[in-house]
Amino acid sequence: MASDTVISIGSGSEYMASIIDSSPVPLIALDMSLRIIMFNRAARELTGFEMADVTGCRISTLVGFEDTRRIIRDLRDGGKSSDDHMAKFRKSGGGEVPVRLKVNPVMSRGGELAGAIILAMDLTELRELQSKLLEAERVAAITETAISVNHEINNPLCSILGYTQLILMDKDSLDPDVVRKLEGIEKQIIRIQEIAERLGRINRPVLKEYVGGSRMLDMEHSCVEEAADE
Amino acid sequence: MDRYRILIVEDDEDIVETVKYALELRGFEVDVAYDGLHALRKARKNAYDLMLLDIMLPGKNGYEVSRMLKKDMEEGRIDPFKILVLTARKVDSPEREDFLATWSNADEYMYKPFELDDLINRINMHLAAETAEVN
Repeated sequence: MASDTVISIGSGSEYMASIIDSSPVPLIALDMSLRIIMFNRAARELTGFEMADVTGCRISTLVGFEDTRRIIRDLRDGGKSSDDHMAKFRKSGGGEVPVRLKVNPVMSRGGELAGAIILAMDLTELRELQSKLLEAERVAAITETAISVNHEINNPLCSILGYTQLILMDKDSLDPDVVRKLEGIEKQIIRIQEIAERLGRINRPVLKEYVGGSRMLDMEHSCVEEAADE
Repeated sequence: MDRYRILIVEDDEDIVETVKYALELRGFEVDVAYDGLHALRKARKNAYDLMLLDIMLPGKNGYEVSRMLKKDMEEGRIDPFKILVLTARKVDSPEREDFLATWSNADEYMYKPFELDDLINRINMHLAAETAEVN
């Protein structure tokens, strides 16, 4: 029976503490001095800190200066629940974890501000997905630009090559020096054609350093041939 | 002997000028359409031996023009002729390229920029094959 279960867990306050500790949402309770008085299991797993590491410490142990100011501002905001805000929790072994925080004031029976409870949402996976999405968009943008350039170059190249070859059709009546120069133009057109062809095959853009700190496409490594189906 | 008639379908006037000049120099009779709809109209009205067809055209694109004309030929509405597609770029994957080539039913694809001599060799090859088919 349900009542037996409650009794087996212990007293009401222990039961509440157990519920809070078991919450899958990282929860941190603060007193009026912004000292941590509760740090549930999900918060411990998220940051790697143990209860003893943080209990009694100020919230600035976990978050940076700006985030601490934001929490204070939220609490001073007339005791109303704040909007979510993005922050970073320090991790015990070094490094940070991106989180979305909701700071909820805790009011005393008399209606006065008694502290706060902070709900945190781990954004690591979301950030990774956003990063992958941005990378995919970057690759798509470069690939589309490369394909467009390939297309736009090939039409005028076709005309330049055509005109050059039309003039060369009468090469016997032309000055040999003019013929040599026209053949040079023809050769360079073929070279541009090869570059344009490679541009159209870019499917994994790789950048390399260029002069002045800017970067350029590494044409050699940006065209990956797909393995033929077995 | 009648001269071979070729319809150039291309919206780039410079390409038209160079190809038309090179073909006329070799004795072909050349007609031009600058967009897909005009190409369809001309090909359905006049008899040609071969069509040089660009892909990126105003109106209807080259794939559609080729598919529609080949269907007309299959169903006997127009006399058959070869369609040689001239395209400025290869599509993004070999599979898609194969699909479009099959779907459009064109006889051959050539990629821009091309050498005029290569183009004329391909045209002669298709016309010779067509003559052999007729005979």
